Amino acid sequence: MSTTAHIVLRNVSVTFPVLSFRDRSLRSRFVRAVTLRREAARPHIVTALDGIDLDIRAGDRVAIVGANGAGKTTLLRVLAGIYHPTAGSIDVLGRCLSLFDLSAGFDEEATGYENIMRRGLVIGARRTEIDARRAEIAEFTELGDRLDLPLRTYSSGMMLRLIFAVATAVEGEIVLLDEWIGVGDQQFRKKARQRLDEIVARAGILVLASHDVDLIKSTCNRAILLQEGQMTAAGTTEEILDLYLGGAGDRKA
Amino acid sequence: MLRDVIATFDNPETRRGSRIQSAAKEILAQAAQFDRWGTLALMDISLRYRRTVIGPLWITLTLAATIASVGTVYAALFKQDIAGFLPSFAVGLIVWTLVATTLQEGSNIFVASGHLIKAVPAPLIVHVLQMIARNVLIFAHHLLIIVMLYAVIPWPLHWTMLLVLPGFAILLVVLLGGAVALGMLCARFRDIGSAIVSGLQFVFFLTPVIWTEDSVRGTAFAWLTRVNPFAALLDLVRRPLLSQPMDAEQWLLGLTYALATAAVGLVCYAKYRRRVAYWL
Repeated sequence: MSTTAHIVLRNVSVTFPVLSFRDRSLRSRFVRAVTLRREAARPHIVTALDGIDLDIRAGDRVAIVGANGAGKTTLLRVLAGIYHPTAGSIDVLGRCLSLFDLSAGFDEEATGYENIMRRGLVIGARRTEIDARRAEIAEFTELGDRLDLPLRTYSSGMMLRLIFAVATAVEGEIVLLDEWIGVGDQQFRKKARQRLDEIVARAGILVLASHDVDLIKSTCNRAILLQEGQMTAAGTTEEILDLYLGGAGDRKA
Repeated sequence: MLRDVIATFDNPETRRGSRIQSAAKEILAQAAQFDRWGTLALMDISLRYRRTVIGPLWITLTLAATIASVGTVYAALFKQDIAGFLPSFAVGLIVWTLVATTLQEGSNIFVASGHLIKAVPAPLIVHVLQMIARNVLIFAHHLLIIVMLYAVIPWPLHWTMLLVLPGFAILLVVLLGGAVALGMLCARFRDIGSAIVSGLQFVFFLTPVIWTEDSVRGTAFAWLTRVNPFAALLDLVRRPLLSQPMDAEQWLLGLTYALATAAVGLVCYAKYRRRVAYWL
């Protein structure tokens, strides 16, 4: 597909204020100011990402590995443009398809078809584009007339089918995945897997955050290791996985 | 598809350029995409019709009942001519309802859309535009009351009624700027939301809706109508709609409020739109 897609991160840091109720309250700020109490009421700052330098070129299949809370999801959100880094610069070229939190934008009360429209509009597609893909999405879900019913009447498996079909109806040069999506019954799972494989195959860049070692080995050609927000290693999948699994083993022992 | 996603990235180019300028560009670009937020707002309304048969007309009915009951009682209490008071009260209350709901929902807008904001990269202004469009559609339902009232108590129709359009436009700019600023403030400081609800109630009584400007003329409260921006904004829609004369000063005042709120909203948007996701 595209050979021009690239992602360049330079010294990217993300710090979060973890706002306690006190910090969220203007009243308590006011009281503190009035009573001239200057005690250290600094909001708790969490450094979710710290000085990340990353170059991803077209053709790269990058796995992000790391323990829970290492910053994998934060990094994906930064790449998707949801979080804007508090320091450093990020340059992303190429259409970005972020496949996480797929159910956002869906409404329980709306019908399947209406939800196709809603989610499409939410991610920034035009009405005409969504109308053009409606039939194709409907066919992929195999839900038939059920798409005229409100979402709340769907079983969770049916809902997942719809959510998956809508999310993967668009393609991107850069695909961001937070864990591989597996949905539905055996037959649909196979179909979903196939579609995801196709999307990944066509994409210029894949960034996948996962704990699934076999999946990473079969899908990715590069990997980075995150530890407490810092990128401690980058290299081939084997090297990084050995490091990660070895390190995790050490910690357990 | 997804073409505007790229524009939201924090690349060095936009960093160097003026932040205000890029914020204004983003707002205008999204406002032009009526297709997106307009359709979402329409779907919100159609969902309300699905939940109850008459949908947003429930609010219209409640308003109509308030106008009929409170309107006649207050007209009698204040010894007002009912033919003069009722239309002014009706239009005033309907416009006030739009203002109050928009500011209230606006103050909660980013918190309420938090899940979406953290899942999908989209300019924040879309949520605000959708909310305002939804409330304007509900407001359009309420116009039914005015039509019905006109059938009972007609007032003169004059070409100056068309001035309601620029008046309404000014009001919308104020609401947009106000909603953005309040939304960001309330995302950061969660206790302001409830303060805004009670504050609006307080302002309601200080605004000539249930009382008229004429009734305070010459009293100690006359200044209230002059310094209260809500009174001035309300009049921008109410007076043209009732074929009442407007002077240049009122328009100028309205424009000043619109510019001021737009400026505050824009500065907040430029400064904090990239931080909002972290506060949610």
